[in-house]
Amino acid sequence: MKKHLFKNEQSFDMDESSLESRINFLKESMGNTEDLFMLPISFRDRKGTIIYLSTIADSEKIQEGVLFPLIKYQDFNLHDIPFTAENNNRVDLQEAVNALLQGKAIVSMEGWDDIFSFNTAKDLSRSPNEPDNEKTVRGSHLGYVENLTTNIGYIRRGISSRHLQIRYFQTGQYTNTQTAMVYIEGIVNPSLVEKLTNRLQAVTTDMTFSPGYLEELIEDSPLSPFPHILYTERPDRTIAQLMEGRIALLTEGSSDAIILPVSFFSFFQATDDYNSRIIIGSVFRLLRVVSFLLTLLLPGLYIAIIAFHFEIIPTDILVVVKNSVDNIPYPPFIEAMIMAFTIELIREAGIRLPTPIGQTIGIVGGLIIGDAIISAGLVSNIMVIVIAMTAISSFTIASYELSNTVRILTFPIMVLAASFGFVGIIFSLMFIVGHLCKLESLGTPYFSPVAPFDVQGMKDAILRFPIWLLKFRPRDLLVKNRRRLYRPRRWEENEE
Amino acid sequence: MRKTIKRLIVSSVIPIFLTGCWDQRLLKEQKLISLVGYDMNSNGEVIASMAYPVRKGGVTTGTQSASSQSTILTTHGKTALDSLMHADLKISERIDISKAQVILFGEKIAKVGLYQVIDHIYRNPKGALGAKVAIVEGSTAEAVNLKQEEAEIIGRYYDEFLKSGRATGFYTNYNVQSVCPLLLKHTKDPLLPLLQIQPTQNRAVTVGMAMFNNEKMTGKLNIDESKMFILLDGSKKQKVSLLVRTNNHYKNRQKNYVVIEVLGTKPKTKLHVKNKSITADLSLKLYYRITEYPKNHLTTPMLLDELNKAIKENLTQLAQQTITKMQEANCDGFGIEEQIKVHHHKLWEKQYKNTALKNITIKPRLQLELTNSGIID
Amino acid sequence: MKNNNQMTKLQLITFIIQTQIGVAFLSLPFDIHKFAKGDSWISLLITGVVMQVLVFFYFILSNRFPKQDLFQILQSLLGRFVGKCLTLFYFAYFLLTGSTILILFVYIIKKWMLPYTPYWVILMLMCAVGIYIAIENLTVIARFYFIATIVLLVFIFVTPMAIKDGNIHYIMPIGHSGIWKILNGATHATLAWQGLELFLIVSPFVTASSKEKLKAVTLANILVTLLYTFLTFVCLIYFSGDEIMLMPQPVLYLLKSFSFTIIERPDIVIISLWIILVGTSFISYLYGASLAASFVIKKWKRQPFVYLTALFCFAFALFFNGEQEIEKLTKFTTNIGFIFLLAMPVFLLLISLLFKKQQRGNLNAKNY
Repeated sequence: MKKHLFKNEQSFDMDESSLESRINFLKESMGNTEDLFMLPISFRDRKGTIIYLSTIADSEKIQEGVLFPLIKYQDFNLHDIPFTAENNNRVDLQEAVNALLQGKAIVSMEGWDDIFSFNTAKDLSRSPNEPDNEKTVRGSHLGYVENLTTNIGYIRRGISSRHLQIRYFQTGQYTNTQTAMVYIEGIVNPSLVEKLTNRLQAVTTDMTFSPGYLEELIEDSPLSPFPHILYTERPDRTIAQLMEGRIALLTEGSSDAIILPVSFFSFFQATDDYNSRIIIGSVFRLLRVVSFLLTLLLPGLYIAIIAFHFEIIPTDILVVVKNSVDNIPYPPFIEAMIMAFTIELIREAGIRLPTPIGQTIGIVGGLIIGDAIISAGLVSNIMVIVIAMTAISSFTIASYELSNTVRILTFPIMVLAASFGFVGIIFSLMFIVGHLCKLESLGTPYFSPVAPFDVQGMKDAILRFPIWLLKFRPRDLLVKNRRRLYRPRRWEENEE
Repeated sequence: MRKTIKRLIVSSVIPIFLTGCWDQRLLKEQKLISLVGYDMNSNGEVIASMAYPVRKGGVTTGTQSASSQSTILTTHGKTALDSLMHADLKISERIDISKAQVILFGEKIAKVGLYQVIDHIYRNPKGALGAKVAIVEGSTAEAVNLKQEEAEIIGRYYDEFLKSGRATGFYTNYNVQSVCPLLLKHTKDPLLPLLQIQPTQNRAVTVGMAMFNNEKMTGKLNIDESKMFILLDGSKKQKVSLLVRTNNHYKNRQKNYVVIEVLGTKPKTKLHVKNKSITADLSLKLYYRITEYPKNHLTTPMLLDELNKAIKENLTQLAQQTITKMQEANCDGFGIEEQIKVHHHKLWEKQYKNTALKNITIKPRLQLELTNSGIID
Repeated sequence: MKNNNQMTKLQLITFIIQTQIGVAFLSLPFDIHKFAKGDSWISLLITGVVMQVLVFFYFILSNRFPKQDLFQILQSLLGRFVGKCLTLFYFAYFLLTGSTILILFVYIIKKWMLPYTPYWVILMLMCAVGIYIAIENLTVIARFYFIATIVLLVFIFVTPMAIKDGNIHYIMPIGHSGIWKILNGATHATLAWQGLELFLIVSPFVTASSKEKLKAVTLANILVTLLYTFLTFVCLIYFSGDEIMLMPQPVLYLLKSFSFTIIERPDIVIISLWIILVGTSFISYLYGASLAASFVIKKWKRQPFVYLTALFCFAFALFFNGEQEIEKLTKFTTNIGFIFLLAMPVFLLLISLLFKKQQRGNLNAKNY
């Protein structure tokens, strides 16, 4: 059972039939909030009131959809009036409170038991634009907005199928945030749906204002540095993931969809890969995987090389490196720390500031500090190259979450590399790979197409194979229907 | 339970990283020796001369890259490593020979034996097994001290020197590692590049190859002989150029010669056993082209045939001369004893184990084929 | 949903390979060369064939008890008390092998890469990784092993480069050492095959028919045999006989003498990668030992035993690390290995065949 978080839940004893007492009840329930508006009306000589929250209800809609019909059709029965405002339901008093909170207008008449609610919620969402952190060159430029219905609408428009299922959950006992679980019946593994439903129903918090808040509450191992859940602001990406047999969660008031279960390699798949030509898409995908490894290992490798195994690099380069590090007072590990710390600072400062100032920070940080730090002899110029390379390659990873993870993971690797050289790097890699093997996202293996090995999954992991070869959905999700396509290039046989 | 144990382990592992880096060998604290020369003085002590790059100028600012200059140090000690340890006493940082590019040996020490000098490289896990080896006529200190201007670092100079010499077919391709089995094993002997230093010109000069019997240097081949050895051995199959004297009678001396370049070879060693004595036939088929023929007018096939014959005669003579020299030096560079061991195992065990090369008759058999004579006739 | 503690055939192959290939293979050419000289590679092929026969024995045995692991087979065949005693012996054997792996590993690492780092630090790192992975169920371990197999590819792709500098005359004439020396060499190679016995432990958890299991293990054995033979062969033609006698780890020395344009010393990288191979072997034995222990003491789950086993191996390795002790220990482990790798399963099979005992009851293998 869920425990309720409300502490002073009161109940009123009152006479429900009188208009006065109803209004009082509603006022009391809303805590006499001052944006509660009451519009006295009269209909067939009866007194009545339209009540709504002026902040979220659209007064124009009330006027046109509720007030005008009331005045125009004075001869009609209240039930028969063709109100143009949608969703005119009869509700009881308790429901009326919830209705008010959703921006509905409540009409109550003296002498009538029924209370009517009309959907007159203000359209608070902005117009959709391209998500900033998931830009693509080709393909759709549509991004989610902060309105759940609109967002689900985008998905529905993309998948016009009766198999697309949407289930709503209320999460957050104060905020009553609507959360929608979207999946495709017939593809998705039903046990995953069941598992996720259970987890969502078990969530007991006062609020869930974003999917990120939810994420921590429902994922398998929240303490792992690796993200288990894919965020996307793009309906097309959501749709592609749904078609693979995954589940999307959307919440009201957030322009992110979260997708789960995901595997490690989902974070390397960008929408652009599929919109560009096969070979080019594959090369870019590979580039991203390589840049992941580079980010993870480059600082560690550099430290290990110049502090332990410098004999492995060719003499000509070695002399250059030696010249550059000869006058640096710090050991390479400290050097790397200084530089990595500086870069993280610049990045963090750049994010929070408005764009023009952010750019200034980039220039001041990157150029001025970088140059000065070398001439001051604090950090060698090779180290600046290494750390800058690391930072840049970390930003090529298609997911913001993963790119942060990787940059953080370089620190333990650097520590081990500085204490044991290559041996340390290998040990840290063993820990990381071991960790990846342990991780599960919603009970499916996280490191999936690699371990457990799955040929079909591999086709879309490190390289992007041609679409006609992606015949089956990845095995790790245990989907109901693995077949994705039948000979789509059948026409080749006819065109002889 | 599990969690507490996990925490215990984590907390016990953390101090390791704090205590530090036992094997740390910071690059900035090492002097990278790029060239080592070993020689021997009259007391039988090992003299080591080494060169290492030192940065010119003071602190560099971001854009300028520092250039390096080689500094030379000479020490002596009872053994090779001992002399290096003595060098450590004279240097501001620690010395490190794991990046040595070339190791030079003086003639004197080479005559005593090579293995003992480089044993410390084999034994060290960081030893520079890829370093090239060469023998210097005269003192190695002079060779290391050479004021050459062709490369920034002297080690690099010798490295490239030997590399190009190998490409032109002057010497065999041996480094510290590949020479090791030959020093140890008794069935094949190495031949190493032989250099001479011309201090007046600030240059090193290739003078041929040094012949070894096992690990001891026993003789020298001149350049032509070295080339012939390399062709006979088959270790280089292309791009070896040879000057051949084809005539004697021209007054204009240039016209007596022809320069050929070998385009391909087919070396084959055959062993013939007769009355329990072994004759080795070194047959070699050469495909060559003419790169210079001052006499000109190679118009008829007759002339070509004649020329071919003259070249063949001359080269056979050269081959014979090379083999004789090797036999004198007892240097089994062709690995003939190895061949005997493989193909006539019993005979080898009985008679030819550690035999002197003189006891085996070696006959060179050359066949030549002209493939082209250049773009003019 | 699928049972969580299972592995696929492919994972079975990599599991066996990773368990077998560990410390021993670096010095394999040296160890065998002592006996069989230039014909060491033939010795290894012979050992491989013998092991294949053993694989058939294992297969028949596991086929008679398809749902039981080794310890339960022991119990079903020999009764509760004897079975548990023998399980304890197996536990001790796994501990011993695990410790030997650790000792040899640190010995080589200290010799080749970290001569000044204290003994216990390297040990502790290895034990930490071992615990971190061995604590998980078989599925996770199998996944990890699969990825670790990539390391083997490095060995397979790098070593052939030595062939072009090799001298085939070093091993000629074939068979010059004589058949007895070759066979003698073959017997000394068994340490490299230790790990096959773990097939009997993991076999009930493999989701495959018994025929597929046989195929998988056979394939694993063939791959391992070929790899060993190939590495030895390359070493034998690259180093002369006199040279190999001076090199206890010829495979590493072989790699050390290579040089590429970017990486001038590939040996450093490859020794580091080799750590992963050692790690997987060590994890397997930790797993085996902890499974054996939890079978004897049913009260506890497997996890606490993983810590205990690792702790024991750590302590053991801490006290036995002299060069001579290591040699004795290796010899001892090889001999003990004979009993547990060869003698015991064959003995069990014989009993099972003689008394016509097969799996009965529902004493199925459990795995935490």
